[in-house]
Amino acid sequence: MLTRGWWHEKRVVIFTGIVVVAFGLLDIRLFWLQVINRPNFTRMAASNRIRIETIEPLRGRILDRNGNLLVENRPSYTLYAQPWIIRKQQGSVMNLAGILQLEPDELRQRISRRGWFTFAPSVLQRDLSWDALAALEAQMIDFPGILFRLESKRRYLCPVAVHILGYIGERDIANPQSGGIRYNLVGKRGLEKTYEKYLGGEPGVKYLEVDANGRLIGEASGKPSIPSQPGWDLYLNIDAKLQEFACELMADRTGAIVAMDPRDGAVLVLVSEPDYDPSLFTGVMPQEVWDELTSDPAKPLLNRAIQGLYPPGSTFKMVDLCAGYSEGVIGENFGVHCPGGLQIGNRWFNCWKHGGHGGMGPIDGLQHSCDVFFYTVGLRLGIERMEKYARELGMGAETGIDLDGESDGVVAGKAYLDRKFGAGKWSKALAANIAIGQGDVLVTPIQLAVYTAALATGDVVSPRLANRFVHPVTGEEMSVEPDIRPVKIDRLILLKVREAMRRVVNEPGGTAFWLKNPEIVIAGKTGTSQNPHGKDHALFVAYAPFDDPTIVVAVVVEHGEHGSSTAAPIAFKLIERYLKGEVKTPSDSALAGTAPLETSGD
Amino acid sequence: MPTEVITLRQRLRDLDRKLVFATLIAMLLGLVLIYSADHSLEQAVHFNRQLVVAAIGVLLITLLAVLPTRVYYSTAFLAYGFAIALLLLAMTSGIMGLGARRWISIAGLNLQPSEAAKIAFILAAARVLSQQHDFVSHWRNVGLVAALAIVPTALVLAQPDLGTSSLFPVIAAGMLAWLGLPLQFFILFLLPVVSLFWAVNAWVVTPLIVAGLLFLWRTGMRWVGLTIVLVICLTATVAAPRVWNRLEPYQQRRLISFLEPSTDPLGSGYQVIQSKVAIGSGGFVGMGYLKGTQTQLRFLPEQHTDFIFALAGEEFGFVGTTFTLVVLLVILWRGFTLAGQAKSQFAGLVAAGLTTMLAYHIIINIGMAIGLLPVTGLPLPFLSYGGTFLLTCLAAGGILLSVGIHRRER
Repeated sequence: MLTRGWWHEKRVVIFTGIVVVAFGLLDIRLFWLQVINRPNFTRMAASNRIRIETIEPLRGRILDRNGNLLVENRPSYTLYAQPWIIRKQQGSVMNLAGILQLEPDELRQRISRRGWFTFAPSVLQRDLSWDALAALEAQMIDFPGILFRLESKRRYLCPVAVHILGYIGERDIANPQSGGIRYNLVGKRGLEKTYEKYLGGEPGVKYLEVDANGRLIGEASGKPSIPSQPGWDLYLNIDAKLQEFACELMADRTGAIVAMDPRDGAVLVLVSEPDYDPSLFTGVMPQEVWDELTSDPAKPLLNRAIQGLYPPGSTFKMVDLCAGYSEGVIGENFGVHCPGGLQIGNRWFNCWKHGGHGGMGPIDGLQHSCDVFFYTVGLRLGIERMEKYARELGMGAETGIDLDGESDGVVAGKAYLDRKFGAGKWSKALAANIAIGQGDVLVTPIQLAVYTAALATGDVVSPRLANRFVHPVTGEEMSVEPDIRPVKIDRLILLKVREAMRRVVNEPGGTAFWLKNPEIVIAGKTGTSQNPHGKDHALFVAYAPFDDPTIVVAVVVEHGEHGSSTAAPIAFKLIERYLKGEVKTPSDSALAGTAPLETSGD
Repeated sequence: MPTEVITLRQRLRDLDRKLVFATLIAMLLGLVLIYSADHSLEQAVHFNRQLVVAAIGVLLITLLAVLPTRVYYSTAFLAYGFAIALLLLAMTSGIMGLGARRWISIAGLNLQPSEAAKIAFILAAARVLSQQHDFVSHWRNVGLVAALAIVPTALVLAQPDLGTSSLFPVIAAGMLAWLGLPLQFFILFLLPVVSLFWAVNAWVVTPLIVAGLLFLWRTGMRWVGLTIVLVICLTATVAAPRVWNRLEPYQQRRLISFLEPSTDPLGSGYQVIQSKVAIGSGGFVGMGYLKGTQTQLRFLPEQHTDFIFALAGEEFGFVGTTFTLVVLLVILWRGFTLAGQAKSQFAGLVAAGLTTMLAYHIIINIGMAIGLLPVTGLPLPFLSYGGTFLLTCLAAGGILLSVGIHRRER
């Protein structure tokens, strides 16, 4: 067989040569891996063994203008699971579900919020009960991949401010902006959401070394932790005592109260009733509770002060005066005779006072809230000119208050009506309706407050709940600057409007004269907004003191029927309490019979 | 007696010291690395066991080195028959381990009969190949070796152990090549295998088949033969995709991940990635003994067995891996050299077969650890943990030494 002699001679060299070439290739590959590409693999090795753990920052507290604590933190235990590890221990999931009193499927879903192939812990339960904590502590060994962390939890000390403060919740992980490593709680609503950036603080980072099973070895050497930065404490313009008082005044009525300093927009009181228990949102909310909250016909989650939309009713009439004077519709001796109604086209428009007011000028027209006078002014102005002044005074747009979800309201203009009814298909008579704040005009209580402040000072302000931030460690302060824009209406015209508003309260025949306070000169305007779904809503806007206003109040009481009898007393008491520290205005119930019906029916 | 003394002295002179040293160094290196792997679990179980096996192995290597070639020649078929019997026993009453029946238990010791089968097959194949004197036929040689190879290949494949089963054809090819089987035979047998992949990439496979057929024409094959080869190739081309489509999805996945680990990032792909990370992060001089993070934190899988080379790479760096390669290369170089020096054709074939086996193991294992070759589960000779495997490698070393010591005998 061995016919080929040369092969016999060379075969050792050839076999060895093949092996040498193969080994040479292996060694070249090794050189590429270990010398040329080493940095990449070093990085991969580090990402294998180093887990980045977030150090949760302490959230900033929230205090009122007098330093009363509204929101603070308290310690609570949170249970986490590392999906990658627990993935292999489906038995312990059942066990754990028993201790936490959860359905196993629900628990699996919580564990795998980020998928099963990650070490990043997912939250199983916040604010563990002591029983569950003790049971888990005792059986810790049976639950690899389960961790506790001591974290801080929000405590809301001022339940009447729930609509302002809001609540916090799990960071939305579907949002890629939120980043992969932060799994903390963030503001979901209210001030907690608006000022998340300051309240939330900066999370710190700990570099931990783990083994292939995700077991913690210790802090990674050479990678020092970055400590977390606590959030800033937030001081509000809100006066907690006044807020509580306002809530008491609302009793169990539905509606909203806004009180604001007209000079800088500092919101003193912002009440929306009904409200809800803020503690419902601090743990894991059961579905039934959420369903109940969202399906409640009283809509407790709605912040009526900034989201509730109401026809302004007669409180809109100051817009007509401003527009009328500015546009020359109301001349020097302009007057209207009120016979109790006005025929416009083929329709009779009633005045609220069916007997009629007789001759009415602009000042007494507002004082008596004579509808016929304002029908006339509205028709002469037309819809577009009224729209212009309504917007100038802050209606029809968000006020810019530092809360989320504010409504912008509706101020009918040509474009709006063309869209609603078709181009040119709407009656000019709509202007009469709009002039008395009915129909296609909708405002929020906060807009009413801004509007009243603009009349009182000549400036439109952006309402501000936040006053300043104080750093809890350094004491450094950051104030929230007011945002003020002057109203483009002649000062003299505003003086006339203010005088009319003064008369509403302080002169006989004014719609709120019965509430006149001898010590404080309050200017205001009553309103009743027609509600097709039930009793009319009662509105009242006011500012005081007349000469140098320091507070404006807007009150809306749903189904309160008459602004003068229901809404106005609330505003008066609030102003008194704020300016004098005590209340002398008789309660509306005690004086129910005293409220003169003929002047409260506008 | 004086003659006896002289003989012993002469024998000692013929002992291949380079092979002895390289084997011992490789084995010690393996022990050092196994200790490190154990260290990550704060134990020494594997190290202690391997140490005992190594001690037994040194006795075994001495014994086998002393045995004269004729003993191997006369017991070759007996060993082969015994090994096949053990494989059958593993089939029927084997212990399941990692999803395959590879082990049998004898007197409380767990043994892997496929390891013994490797050496037994080499002895038997060497014997049938060295029996011809006058009448020489390549076809006869190929037929006999194929017949010997097909039984252990099939039995090991059924375990299933794809990696080890591939070993028998490779060893057979190595031994036939050593004997001088002409190149056209290898081409003839490779062409149908290449044709199987026609559907995967026709642009590469078609020229290969054409080139193969041209080569066969040049070496004297004519129309009838070429037509038969072409028909076989075309059959393979057509049949491969059909068989593939008949496979269950899990079988397809297993085959794909065998050839392309990155398609299975949680299974064998994960292992390869971690192995490359370990080796790559070792750098030039390594992280230091017992200091490799991939190893000590156990990100490196199978670190005392299949991926022990990656452990060396992480803790001893490029210097360590190159040193390991050099030591193993010395063993292979000496193996082929001894094969070439043997006067007995049987001894030469045995040495060539054993060295081919070791070379195949080494190249496949390291190629797998550095991500060049599929994950087969072939361990690294002399270094990987595993009693039966270490004894097999040392036995191979002992027989190689025996071939060296008795190389002057016919």
